[in-house]
Amino acid sequence: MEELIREEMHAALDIERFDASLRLRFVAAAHADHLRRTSGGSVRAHFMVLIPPLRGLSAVAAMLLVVVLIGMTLTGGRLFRDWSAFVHRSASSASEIDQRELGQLEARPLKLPFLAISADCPVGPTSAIEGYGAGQVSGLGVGVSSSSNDIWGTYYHANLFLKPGQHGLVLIRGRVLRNGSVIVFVGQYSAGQVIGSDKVDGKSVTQRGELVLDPSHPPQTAPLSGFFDPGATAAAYARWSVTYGVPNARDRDADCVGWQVDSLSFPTETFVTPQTMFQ
Amino acid sequence: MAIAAQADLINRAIAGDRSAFDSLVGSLIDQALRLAFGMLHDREAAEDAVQEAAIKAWRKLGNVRPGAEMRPWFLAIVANECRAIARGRWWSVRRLDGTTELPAPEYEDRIVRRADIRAALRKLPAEQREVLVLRYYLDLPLEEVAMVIGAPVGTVKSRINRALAAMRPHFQPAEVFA
Repeated sequence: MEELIREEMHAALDIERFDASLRLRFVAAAHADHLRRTSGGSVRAHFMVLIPPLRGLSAVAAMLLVVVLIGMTLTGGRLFRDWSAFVHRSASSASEIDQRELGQLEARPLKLPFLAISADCPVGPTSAIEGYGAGQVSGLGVGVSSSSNDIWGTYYHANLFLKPGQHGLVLIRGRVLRNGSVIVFVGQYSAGQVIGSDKVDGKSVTQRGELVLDPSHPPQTAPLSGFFDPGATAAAYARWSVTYGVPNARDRDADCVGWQVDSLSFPTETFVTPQTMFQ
Repeated sequence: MAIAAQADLINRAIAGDRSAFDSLVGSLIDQALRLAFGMLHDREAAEDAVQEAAIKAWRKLGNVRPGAEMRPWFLAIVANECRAIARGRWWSVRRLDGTTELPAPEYEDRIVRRADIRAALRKLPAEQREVLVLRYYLDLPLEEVAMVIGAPVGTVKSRINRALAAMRPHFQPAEVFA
């Protein structure tokens, strides 16, 4: 009887498939909450430590003297190095980005729908430039990795374009719409939780579930010949060359990919592409 | 998980290490979603409950006793969230999503039967539905069910018995035709 009840309960309740990426979302939400709670608290705590010794004018003067001395030391020793770093700085990697801002973006729920196996892939919208995504971010496939069709899945190279005038971080997440599989990112701009590891183009890589673009440090600037139609503004689109991976799936399950773009600078955007992002 | 390793993960999570928190709780998310769906019968409400439970779990990590099992601790937080959501809503919505339940003529009887079981589960008092889901859907041992609901094993058994009595007509084996 117990086994029958168990079977009936499973049959009755196993009607919802929960996306494996919810784990990422919930952990990210909890992390963002932790950061919100601890940032304000730690500042107050430090002040409480500092305030008691600052009784009387002499203590204030001593404090100011220490600050000035520290400032002079730092300025003298690091001015040239900082200036050099500023002049020669390169595109920021995921490790240099503002984790608090990223946490806020990661906590946003995914709005990508599940798609029935029999449904057509609702590719689009497309942008004024020749790419997918009609908002602030557009994507365009530019190649397939040499390690394509390996055991795990296939990796693709793409250019992501960001309209000029954006300042906040841009978080990009992708899902296979027919089965909810996480699109992984490898390389410099990948971020978030580690999904796994693999070899791409002969190099060992770490798969992560997020891509983060930092508009304040764009790696390249468009235009590239052939990417823009004559009518589109060719000025100052930032361009990131990225690599993403789509896990193998049976039949046509993985032929339709949804992308969500989140930023504090503009409303959430979504668009749908074929696996390759080729137009 | 060894006590020292668990304590290390908890300390790292309290200090803000997201991967440590994921190691503690991440693998329980799927069971948490099933528990929440079993209790609430609403996908979005279940996701909301588990997200809120994850947030509260991080806040309460300092309360975990050394060596305590994480699963009943976290599922208890999820169950509390589900109870709060169930108390808070005065309406009841049953979603019929064509992408997850595709009726076909040959399966019609079975689908109707499953829908009947879900309807009967919804009619149960929340505390009875909770123990049935924990025991027969998440397959937890009685002792762990008791830890999740914060009651003695005897109470769990009596609630299960009452719930099964109410559900009995729906759990009859299907007739076999020669």
